[in-house]
Amino acid sequence: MSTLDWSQTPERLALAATLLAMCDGSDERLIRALDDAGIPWIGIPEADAGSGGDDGDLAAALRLLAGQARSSSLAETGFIGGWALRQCGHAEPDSHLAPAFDIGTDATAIERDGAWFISGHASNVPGVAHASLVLIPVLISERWQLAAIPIDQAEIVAHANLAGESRAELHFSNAKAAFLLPIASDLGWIDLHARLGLARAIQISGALLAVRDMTVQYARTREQFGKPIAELQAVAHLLAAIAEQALLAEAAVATAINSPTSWNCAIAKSVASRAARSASAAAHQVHGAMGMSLEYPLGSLTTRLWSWAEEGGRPEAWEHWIGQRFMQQDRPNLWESIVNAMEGADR
Amino acid sequence: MSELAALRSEIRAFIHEELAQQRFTAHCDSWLTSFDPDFSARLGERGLIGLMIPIQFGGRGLGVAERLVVSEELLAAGAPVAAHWFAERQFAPSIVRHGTPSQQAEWLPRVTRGKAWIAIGLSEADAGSDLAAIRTRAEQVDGGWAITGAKLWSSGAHTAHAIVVLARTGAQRHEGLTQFIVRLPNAGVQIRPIPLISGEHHFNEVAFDHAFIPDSDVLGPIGNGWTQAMQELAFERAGPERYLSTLPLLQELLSGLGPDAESASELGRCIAEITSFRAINQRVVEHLATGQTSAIDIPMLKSLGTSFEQRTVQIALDLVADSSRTAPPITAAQGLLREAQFQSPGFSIRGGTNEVLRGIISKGLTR
Repeated sequence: MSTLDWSQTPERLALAATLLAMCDGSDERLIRALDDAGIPWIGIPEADAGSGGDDGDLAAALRLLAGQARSSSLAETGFIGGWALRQCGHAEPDSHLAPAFDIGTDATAIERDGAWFISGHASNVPGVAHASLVLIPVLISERWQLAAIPIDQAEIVAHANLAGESRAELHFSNAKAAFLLPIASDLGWIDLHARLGLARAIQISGALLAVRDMTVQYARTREQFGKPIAELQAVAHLLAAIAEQALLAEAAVATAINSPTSWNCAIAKSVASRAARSASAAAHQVHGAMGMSLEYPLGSLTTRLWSWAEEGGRPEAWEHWIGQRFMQQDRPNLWESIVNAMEGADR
Repeated sequence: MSELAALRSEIRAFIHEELAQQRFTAHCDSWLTSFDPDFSARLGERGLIGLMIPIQFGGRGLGVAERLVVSEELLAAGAPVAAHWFAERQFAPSIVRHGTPSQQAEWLPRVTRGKAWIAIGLSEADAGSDLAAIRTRAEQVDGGWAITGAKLWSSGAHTAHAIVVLARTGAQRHEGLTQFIVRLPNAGVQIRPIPLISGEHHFNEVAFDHAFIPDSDVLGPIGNGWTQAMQELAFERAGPERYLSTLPLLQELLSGLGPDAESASELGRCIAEITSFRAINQRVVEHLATGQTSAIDIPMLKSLGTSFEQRTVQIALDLVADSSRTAPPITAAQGLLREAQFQSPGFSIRGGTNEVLRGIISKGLTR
């Protein structure tokens, strides 16, 4: 089996082998192993005590772990939180981060004696279970700033998404920020939200490949009516549909990694989320009752796909944002907008 | 400016010039339905046809990425490219790969000038999706071959200078097939129109009754026709015509509607999907050039893209219905919508039905 291969380099293959070896034990062990190997700090130059590498390397790691249906705080600490800090000129490898970039987050900051105090709430915050700092955007004098608040300053209502991954509602009442940094002037809340969306899109694209392979394998070996069900045309077409959606998500994600404007992140999240919905439905249909069983590994992937499709902006929300932004242009030209955006222009 | 960006500016400048002089109006599915020999000739004069054709034959000797830039700009603009499209897309690559030196010297410069109009003779009455079931046969006669049989759904055969015919020269299902360049007119060939549900004439039935073809017009080795036809289909399926057929309609609708919260989501989804198809397409053609393409990438792109095209017709119907409640009807868009709707069933049929493609995909997955 082969498909389009967007990102394979010898370094990535070596990284993949390292990560796979880490997936042997519990989630706790995985998180420790990732830390020991410095994976969450890929993207921070080695000169700044980071692990070197780039966004693409981090994305490759996220994809791989998603395909293994493993939970870690790599997306939160590395791809989302670490990136956000770098947009504020803060490029030090930090402790684990809980980026509060999803919708339902609303906080204000006041200054007192040279310190900043944050009040408000944040919804559906990932990574809280392992984080020591919450990152929360606040608008001060019409400029977005990123407040880093020690986790013990927050009132936490912990819950979990459908896949059991840590999510939490956070409340702050005059919580003292560890530090507060202005975000690069051309960025705002929506860009942080888009980064969260891209992380989930990357994870979706990794899980979709695993769902595709698992479902193909099942259909090849499961026999009914005296033959593998993959030979039944209706089933074969479901397999094709899953592969198509996995490809589409991968293409959208690759475009956003190459050119990570919020516009391209929005596209990646909307395309990947829709692919997650339709491919997970098709995969369950092929698996029959077996896919519903806790013991069988499909569910650990599809529950992630369902959750990730909704987190970091639902497809409907991002599509609306894209459409409105397009139509707000002076003389909207559909084709030119598409071409320019893919080449890295803002849209 | 990169070379690709320079080329994009070049083709856009040409298109703007043509539009400014009102030499064409945008149409949906223009590569199939918009026939304008003068446009093709002007495009050829600028050296914008057959970019991959070697320089000694009048082309630019460029790569697939460059060709994709020009193709997608023409299609997105709804430009009238039907006259030369098949010749440039699949005939020329086949001649480059399999043609004799004299075939190359004759046809390739003509293609680059936009003066070679070629039809495709593959499908038959009893051989549609099951293409290898074709029965049109070629028998060896003195100095050449005599073809007897009938081809169906040959787009543009009534205006073409030649039709490339896949015919049976032996009994073996695949190895018994050979391609012939049948110059038109030919005393043994009759072309009958098959009007479309729109009333338009693009399709033809092409009947052969002992039509004589000289040996010099055999394309490629005897018995290599299936392989060549499959290579051509890969070129045919791997292009932006599989997701841009309705782009002129979407563009026209948007300029007519203005900012409107209700339709923004649908539009955003279209932008997201076209972007993703382009990303796949760019990668597929790179792989096609280096021979790395997996057997299923191109069918996946075509299946996804044509399903999208069909969905855009419904989106357009909804947008037009919404806007007619509040504003005067959008007449230009309605014309484009009509032609898109008439053509839409064909999107997922031509060049391999989506069902056949999904069969190919699942075979590739489970192999």
